[in-house]
Amino acid sequence: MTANTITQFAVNVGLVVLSISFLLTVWRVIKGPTLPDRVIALDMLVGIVMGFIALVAIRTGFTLYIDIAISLGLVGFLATVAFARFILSRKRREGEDGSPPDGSSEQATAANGKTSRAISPTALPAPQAGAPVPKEAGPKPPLSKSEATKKTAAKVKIAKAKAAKKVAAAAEPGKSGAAAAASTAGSRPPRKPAVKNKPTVKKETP
Amino acid sequence: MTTYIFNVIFAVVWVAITGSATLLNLIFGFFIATIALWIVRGEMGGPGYWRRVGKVLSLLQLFIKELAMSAIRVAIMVFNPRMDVKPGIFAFPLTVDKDHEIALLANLITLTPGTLSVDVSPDCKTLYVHALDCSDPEAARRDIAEGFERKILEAFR
Amino acid sequence: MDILLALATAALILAGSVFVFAATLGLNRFPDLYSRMHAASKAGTVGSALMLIAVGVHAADLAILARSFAGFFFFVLTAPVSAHLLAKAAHESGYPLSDLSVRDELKHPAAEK
Repeated sequence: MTANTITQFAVNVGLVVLSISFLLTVWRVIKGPTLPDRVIALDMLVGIVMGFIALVAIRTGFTLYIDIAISLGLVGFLATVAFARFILSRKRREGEDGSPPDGSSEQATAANGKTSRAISPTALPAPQAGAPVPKEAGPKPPLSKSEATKKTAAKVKIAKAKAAKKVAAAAEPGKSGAAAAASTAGSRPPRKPAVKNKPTVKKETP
Repeated sequence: MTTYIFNVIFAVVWVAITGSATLLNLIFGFFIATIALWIVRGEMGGPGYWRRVGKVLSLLQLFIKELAMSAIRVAIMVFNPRMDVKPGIFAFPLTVDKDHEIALLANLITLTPGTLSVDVSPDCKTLYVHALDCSDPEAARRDIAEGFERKILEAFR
Repeated sequence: MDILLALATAALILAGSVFVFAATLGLNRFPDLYSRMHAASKAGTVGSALMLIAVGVHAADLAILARSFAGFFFFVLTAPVSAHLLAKAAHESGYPLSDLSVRDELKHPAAEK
């Protein structure tokens, strides 16, 4: 009897933890700024549901559920592969929220004499200026003293990138506007902008 | 290679004879066929096959170990309240050149701690690897070259 | 014997759920999609696979254990493939790395544009 209680307890704890994980993953599906983020989260959902099925199998004693879990894994794998093909053929939409702001805002920041957000093998991006300086800091773009102190004062901590972006937006409110708009949009759930070429899916087979 | 084919054929024959086509019976038949082939090893194949079986088994063991390690490492990294990641993509020059070896290496790299293979160059000479901690790509390259790549070369050459 | 099996099952379930939870936490905390892929493809896979094994151990039947191990290997072998494919597709269609990234030695025409 006590063996049964141990198993049931573990199953209950597992169900609770999996439910929390499920909600967190759904949150990422809703929020995830780009399409690949959502696809990863959906892939993860399949894994979580497999865990659910396994726990239900233990709870009810129907080991036939294993087959269901395996076939669900197969379907999930195929779905992810299909999504990857879709991402490859669709290309990235203009204005889709990526981690760094793209296009116009990048040019705007570059024109303002700040560091460009484009990642090059040597240049380090701006948000790390406040952090402990890494060894291989290459030719860093000039960063004005006041800006640097502001950044260090802002205690860039866990979400370094996001916080730094917000600080940058707050420090220069009168900036060209594009960058500020992009950085605020980055912290909000994305809404699909009305892009000119929306209905056309570019068919580019490499 | 021929020994392996014989091994599989013997296993299938075993399943056909015993008349229960379950996975377990197939594995059992494979096991028996391995023993049978091992007994007659002097007449066919030579010792190379058996050394290679050992290497493949050690590769499998390494695979399981690295999988557990990488999951634990990622979990620790996630639970750490101060997340200091320096992600980046570095290029890894391949020594292995056969397709299935590259595929295996890419899979193994994905399952090592903190690395994830992203792409292979069209000429199959370079593997692009995304690493969570890319502050020292030289060390990461050396780890892969001396760990998995050497094991794969030993197992398949 | 029963209690040993129950303990093993419980340990596998708890370890699996901790890994899954870590994966989802990583999914929400990591800065960019490539880092998130690390969390989902490693910790998540191991978590679900451990639970599959837990079913086999709990059933205490060799046939079911073999089937759950087959599921385990299937899942563990397909996860890196899908992660790799997704990363390649995302990088090729120009989704950028996060600001924290220190280097990118892979350049696609689409990513540079």
